[in-house]
Amino acid sequence: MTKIDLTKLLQKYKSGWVALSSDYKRVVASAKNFSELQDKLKNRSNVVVIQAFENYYNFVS
Amino acid sequence: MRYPYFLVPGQPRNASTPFIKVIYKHATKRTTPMLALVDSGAQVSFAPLDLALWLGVRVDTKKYLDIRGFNNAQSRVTENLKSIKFGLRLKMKERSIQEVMESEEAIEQIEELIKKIQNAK
Repeated sequence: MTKIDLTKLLQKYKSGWVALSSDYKRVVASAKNFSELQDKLKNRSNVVVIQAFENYYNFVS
Repeated sequence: MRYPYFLVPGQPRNASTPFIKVIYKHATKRTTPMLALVDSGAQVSFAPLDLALWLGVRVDTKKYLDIRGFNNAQSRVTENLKSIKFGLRLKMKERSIQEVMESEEAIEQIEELIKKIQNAK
């Protein structure tokens, strides 16, 4: 099954939130909190948001 | 229906993570698509607090739920978010079909389960 590798894109973001392009190839924006990220995105489409962690082991959502 | 798995920091390269795109909705606000973890064994779904606050969910810190996990580890969470919208995009040959499901029925079932757990205490 296809795996999408986000490790290089996300490795420098240890906390906060990150918006990725919908093809998962680049970071569009990042912010410390969700509200700040939404302000940066301003209803932009074709993005996917993910919480940023140094380590996603034991991630729960 | 097939969804890709993801490789993320901190995970071994042979252990990928099942994320799907979801949209959180509350009143008139909705988020951009977000990646959330699929956990078919979970009885409760979680969302980050700052997300709930952005949506305008009234967080009642007096109403909480003790979540019990592996090795009897316990975490305390507040129960507030009412609905999550799962967006699915299906590709059949050369056509794209977009199907959106409201999961409010599932949320109601979860809320009933939470009430039962609290009443049992």
